[in-house]
Amino acid sequence: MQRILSLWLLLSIAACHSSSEEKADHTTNASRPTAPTTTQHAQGFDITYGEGYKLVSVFHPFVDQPDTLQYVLLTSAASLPPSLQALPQITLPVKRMVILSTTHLGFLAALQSTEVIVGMAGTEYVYHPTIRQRVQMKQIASLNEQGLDEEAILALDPQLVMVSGMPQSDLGKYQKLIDLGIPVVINAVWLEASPLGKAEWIKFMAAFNDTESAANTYIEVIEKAYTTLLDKTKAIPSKERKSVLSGVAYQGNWYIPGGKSFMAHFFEDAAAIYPWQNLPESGSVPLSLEAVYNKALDTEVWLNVGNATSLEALEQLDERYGDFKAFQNGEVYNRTKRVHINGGNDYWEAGVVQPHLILADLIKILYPSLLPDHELYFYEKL
Amino acid sequence: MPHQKHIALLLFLALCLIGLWLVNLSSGTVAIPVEALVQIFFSQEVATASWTKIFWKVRFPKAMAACLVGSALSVAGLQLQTLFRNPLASPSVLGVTAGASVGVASVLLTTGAFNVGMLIKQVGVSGNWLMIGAAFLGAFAVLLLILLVSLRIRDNVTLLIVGLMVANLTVALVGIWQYFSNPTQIRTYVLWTFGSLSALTYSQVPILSVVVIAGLLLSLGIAKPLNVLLLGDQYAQSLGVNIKRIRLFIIIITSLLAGSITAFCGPIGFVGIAVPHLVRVVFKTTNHYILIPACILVGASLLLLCDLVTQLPANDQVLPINAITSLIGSPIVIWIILRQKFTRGIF
Repeated sequence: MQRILSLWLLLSIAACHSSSEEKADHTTNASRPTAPTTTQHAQGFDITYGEGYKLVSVFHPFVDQPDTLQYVLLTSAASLPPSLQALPQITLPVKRMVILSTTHLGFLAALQSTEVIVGMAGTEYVYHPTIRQRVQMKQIASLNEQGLDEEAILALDPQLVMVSGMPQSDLGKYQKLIDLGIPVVINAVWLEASPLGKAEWIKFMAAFNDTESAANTYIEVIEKAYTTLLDKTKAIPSKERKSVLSGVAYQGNWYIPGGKSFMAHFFEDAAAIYPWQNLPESGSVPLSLEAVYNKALDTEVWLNVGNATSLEALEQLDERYGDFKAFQNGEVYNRTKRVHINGGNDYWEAGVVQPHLILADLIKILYPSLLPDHELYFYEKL
Repeated sequence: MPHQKHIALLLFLALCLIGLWLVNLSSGTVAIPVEALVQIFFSQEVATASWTKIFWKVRFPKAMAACLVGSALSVAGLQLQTLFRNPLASPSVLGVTAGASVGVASVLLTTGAFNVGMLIKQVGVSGNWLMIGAAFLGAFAVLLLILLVSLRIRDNVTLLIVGLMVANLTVALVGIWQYFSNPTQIRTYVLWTFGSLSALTYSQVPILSVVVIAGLLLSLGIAKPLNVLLLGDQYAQSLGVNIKRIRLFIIIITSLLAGSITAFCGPIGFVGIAVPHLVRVVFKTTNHYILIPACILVGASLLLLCDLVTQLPANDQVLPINAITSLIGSPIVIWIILRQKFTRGIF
């Protein structure tokens, strides 16, 4: 694992180097097409390249709306085909961007292009130290996603505003911005279920910064690391596989990640037995305490226990947790290792672009002998 | 209706309650045979160890919560409807629920220097006691405010309006906090507002029981002045009832009942307003010596029934209790009230 990590570091430095070269290139010769990219794992977006433009399509922008949204990214002043002229247009490269989710920050950080951020929502909960600093120095404006302040955004003069396709939000909320001529780009990464698919949205982000080659290199390294880990877990015989439980109850109801969720994908890849693998949902499902309690009593490992960072704190949430086998054996882990005092959790920021580290953590937790040298990165033992 | 008939009806309701309690205990997502349940109940060992835990740690506290919630809120609602002589009065009109929600919101939604939750944590309270404590403190704070107001004014309608306005104020306050909170915090808060009977744990059952039973006994203690209150304030005064004192009593009892329930189980609506109406129509009486025990029995039975409905058949999922109480109860109440002209005569 250590070797993979150092290889990744090396490559990412190289990638960063080449991307900065490319950027320099770009400013001198704006019409030169950038290195194209294609998607392998992600199902939510696609990028096609034309003469002087890129066409970015988001297939599933909102949770309940399958309409495709498209954006034209202009790489040169060349004339667009008539069919594309009605689409929102963004002139590249994007140097001023407003992001309304910390997940978007993770992608920009991995691409080493956080300098494009001029405003973001949720700045109070940022983990990334440089971004925190820049927020403090007022180089990045703090915005409120719920009560969007159009004036403040307009004053930042961004080339685009990137938002999440959260449930219940539709473009109507951002219509004023669109009317003001600011393109609003929906980043629907959260609807992507597979870990590598989620990570691949880095290419989506890269399209706006002309950093596709860096994204390609990055994803290759991640993919390699991930599949190496997968090969290790595949070999685990089924009777040695351990069972996992995820989450805690809220007010007596248990929100269990569905069988198609991001977490369930990880459990499958980590060769864990997940009792709710057959639930068809991709989000969380509210299950009765009794149903979960019955299965949880004998589960071997318990993960993602809310905000609890100690067994005592966990038991204070609900005394019934003390009955669980995982609790009694001390096999309880939470993704709280990289949390800043402000509550910002790197897992939610960088985790999306580092699925191999999440998987490595899970393997280390479940089958420590497989990764003797790996030190838990996002997770910690309670 | 003659007195004997009332007694017979109360006995019948008590049997219904026991029946529903047993059905509630024996049904759940995990299928446990009745013989095993009987063995577990009489502290005998059963083959499947997890059944004992499920019974005592999940089902028993939930069934108890249903009984306590149903009886406490119904009686609180009955008293307030009598006090205000208003059929729309319920524990929420005094701002008790709203106060509790401010308490919970102050723990869940605020951040930084204003985080009450952080302050309480430093004192050494954490986990679910943090939320329970915050809810109770919130309800108590609003109660104190209402008490101060009630000492100064004579008119019950004014008090009702003040209660409603305080509730509005708290909604606004919570709204502002929600506006500045992140989605995870809002989600936790919204989940709390759904209400839950499962949140009560085995060791909390005795605590809530003592509070609720004390409140119910106190209510029975003031049944006579409650009867007189229905005849009008002036008439009551001429009969020697101290209106201000009885008002104070009712407010204290209500916040004890509704405040503790909201603290442990979240805001549970509908029961407080609907059960008193149901009971009045069925018993055709205004005598609180009958109405209070009837409210206890009907309220507890209704909540046990609603809890049964929240468990979707052949599915591990559950519906929020708050939605079910309104969904089942509202049509029943509309139907009964439309059929009967009894309610009109009382107030």
